[in-house]
Amino acid sequence: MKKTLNVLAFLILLGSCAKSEPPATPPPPALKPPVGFTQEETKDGLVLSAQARLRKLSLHLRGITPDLQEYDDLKTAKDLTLFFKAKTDEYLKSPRYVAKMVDRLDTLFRLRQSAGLPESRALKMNQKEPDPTLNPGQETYNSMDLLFERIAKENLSWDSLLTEKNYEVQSPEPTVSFRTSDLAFFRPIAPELPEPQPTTAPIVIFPITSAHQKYDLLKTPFKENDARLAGSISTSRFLARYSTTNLNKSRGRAAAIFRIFLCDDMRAVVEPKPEEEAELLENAFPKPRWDSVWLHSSLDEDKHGTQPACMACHYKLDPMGKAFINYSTSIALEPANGALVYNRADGTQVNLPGKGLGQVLHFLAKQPEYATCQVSHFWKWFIRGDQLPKEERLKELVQKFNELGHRTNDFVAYLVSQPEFSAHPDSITVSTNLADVKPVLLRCDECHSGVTEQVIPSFVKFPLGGNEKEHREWLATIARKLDIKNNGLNKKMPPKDSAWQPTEREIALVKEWVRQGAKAEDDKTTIDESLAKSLVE
Amino acid sequence: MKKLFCILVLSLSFSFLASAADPVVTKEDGKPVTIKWDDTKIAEYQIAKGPLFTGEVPFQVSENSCSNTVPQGCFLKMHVQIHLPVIYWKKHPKPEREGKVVLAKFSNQEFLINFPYIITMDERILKDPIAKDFPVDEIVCDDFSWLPGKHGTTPPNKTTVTKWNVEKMVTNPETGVSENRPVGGGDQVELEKVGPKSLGIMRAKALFGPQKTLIRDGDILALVLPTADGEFCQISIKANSQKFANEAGAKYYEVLAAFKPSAAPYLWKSDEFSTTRFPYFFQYFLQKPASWDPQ
Repeated sequence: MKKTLNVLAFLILLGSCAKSEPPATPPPPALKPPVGFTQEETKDGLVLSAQARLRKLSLHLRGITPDLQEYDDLKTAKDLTLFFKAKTDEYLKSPRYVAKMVDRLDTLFRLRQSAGLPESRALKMNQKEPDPTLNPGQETYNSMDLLFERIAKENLSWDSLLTEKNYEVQSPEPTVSFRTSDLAFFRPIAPELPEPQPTTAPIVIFPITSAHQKYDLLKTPFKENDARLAGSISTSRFLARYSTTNLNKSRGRAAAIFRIFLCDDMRAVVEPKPEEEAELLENAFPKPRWDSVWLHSSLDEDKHGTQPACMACHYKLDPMGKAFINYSTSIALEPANGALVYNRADGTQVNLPGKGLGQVLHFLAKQPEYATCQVSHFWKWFIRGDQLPKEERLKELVQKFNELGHRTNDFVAYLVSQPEFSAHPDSITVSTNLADVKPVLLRCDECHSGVTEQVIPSFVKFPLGGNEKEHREWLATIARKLDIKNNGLNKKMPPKDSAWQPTEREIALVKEWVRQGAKAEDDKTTIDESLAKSLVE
Repeated sequence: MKKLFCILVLSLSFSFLASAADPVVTKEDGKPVTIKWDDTKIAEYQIAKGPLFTGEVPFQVSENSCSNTVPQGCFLKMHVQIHLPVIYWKKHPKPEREGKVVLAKFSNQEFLINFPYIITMDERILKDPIAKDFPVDEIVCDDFSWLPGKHGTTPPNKTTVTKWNVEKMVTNPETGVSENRPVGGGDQVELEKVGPKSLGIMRAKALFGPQKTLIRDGDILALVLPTADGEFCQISIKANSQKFANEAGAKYYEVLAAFKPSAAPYLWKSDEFSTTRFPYFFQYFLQKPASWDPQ
């Protein structure tokens, strides 16, 4: 009886949790800043005071403010460099840092957006001190979550997200309908793992194991060269989050990988207006050649994926999607061929065929674009979320990321020791000139040159159109067509059927360039402040 | 099939919250399981089994990257059998209750205690002893050129489906979006020619998903098969099981109505009960008979 009521209460609780809005950020405990909590002007520009830096360090690494004792320790510290190094090391070893990093990865992977799943691990830790009678991280019962944890806890290489071959799995697993089972997922290739909890009803409507039940973390026994395994991607949670069907052919999964690991937003090229929907459907899902039978979802492979607009994404998605063909709610028994294919910024194409997800994603982790993208994530998490560093600075950071062997915490420690971390947010706006946006504008020129040369000038020859008046008008046109005010949300150019579409980062770069007065390569502004402001705000 | 399963799920969805005097459950090897409240009230677990029901489920291929051919005149020849465990009164102060199925009382409403489940080819493939003699389900077609390889009207002697997925429109819990998703299926499902126009669904290396099934509760069957060049191709099958489900579901009521003549005692640790479809509620009743008020 009591058990039944507990089950009902649990279900009601799940329902009420599902309706609540996720908080934007974990609320730090109320704490008045000590005297001296101000910014300071130094020879390096406006930088945070030591107290403000400590507060920022603690918030960024742990999600909470330092306690008063730490501020006192700071006051008496003889060597601030050593003090902050020690604090960074201390914070990086704390469970709260692990929780923060798992939250960041959850957001990056677009997890936990719906009913019944924990919203934020760091927030949960802030709300209440962990109950010592419970296992730490009660909710972390999926191999993907546990891998996220290990990356932060054990300072693993960030590449583990793509290349790790061994997992921790929880046993017994809470058998809840919205979760897929790790044990059931891995058992076909690891029969030594225990059977998952029996699910006897057609629909599992309650957890068979209690939330307070103790569990063991088992290690999977896979080999380092197992081509079926690819870090967080070959987990039941990733595959369930980015589910697929025969019709989709895992393109959604491939798109998530391009977004997360190559910062390629893979935005839909074709966004139909209502009157264009029929045409789009015909292009995407051509009617079958067979006349005798009407098959509503038939797909003619010979035609599909050959439409130029579709190919802007399909040429990348389809080869990677193929490597997923044998994954379902259980892992692939045999690896399928796939390939990593994409065009670099310089126009050359990466085309690396591989056996199984393991090999294809191993190739991905070796690409320079991958390292740059991952450093960009770290920059946004730890330095500034709304803006990337200048190209040269980004290159320096990528070099350091490579030197550190992509070790997660080593790179975080490096990043928070950098001047940008201690700089006041208003003082770290990077200077952007024509040289920075040239690669983007040249892509515009590629199509506009030739037949339209007389009408549309080159966008990299200043002043645009040959005089100042034309220059201002063309800059306004560029800003409007790219819709930089709305970060490209309603952009009119390039056309939707263009094979090239600027990324969010590229549009942000153009926006920042215009904001700063559309500087030429000699760093001189070419439009006045009021026009620049009117174009971006 | 889905409708049939819904009927069965609904009949399982009881809540028994009333209290009763502690009964004694007797579970001895090879003997009927009984519940004894006192010398005047004794109940026994029994199982009735419906007749084997065979039906045809027509299907269409809705997508095929293995071949450009549309299968003609295809259907799945399927078999199901309803099993109906119940608890009935062996001895009761009111003699008219004896031989009747026990009712559980909750909030002044009485519920028939029964735990129906169905046996399909899934149980045979899972090597459930109760289904060891269960017939093989078949894919029957006039033409097999829709499979990879150069098959005409004759089925291949043997072929293996690398991944057999059961897809269904369900909500993605991480996004809240309803989408067609794999909910179960099988690895290395072996098909063998069992007739001039029939491929038998013989065995599988493993069944996966919460229900471990090749057919239950899905809208689409999505099959991944190897091709001659070492790649894989996919075939989606949409089966229209409405008629079959209605007919098979009707068997449940027939079994219920004719319960007594066909029922046999549930012998503890015998093969008289499925090891793969053991209903949780029945298991619960075996362990906690005190949590409901028997009528």
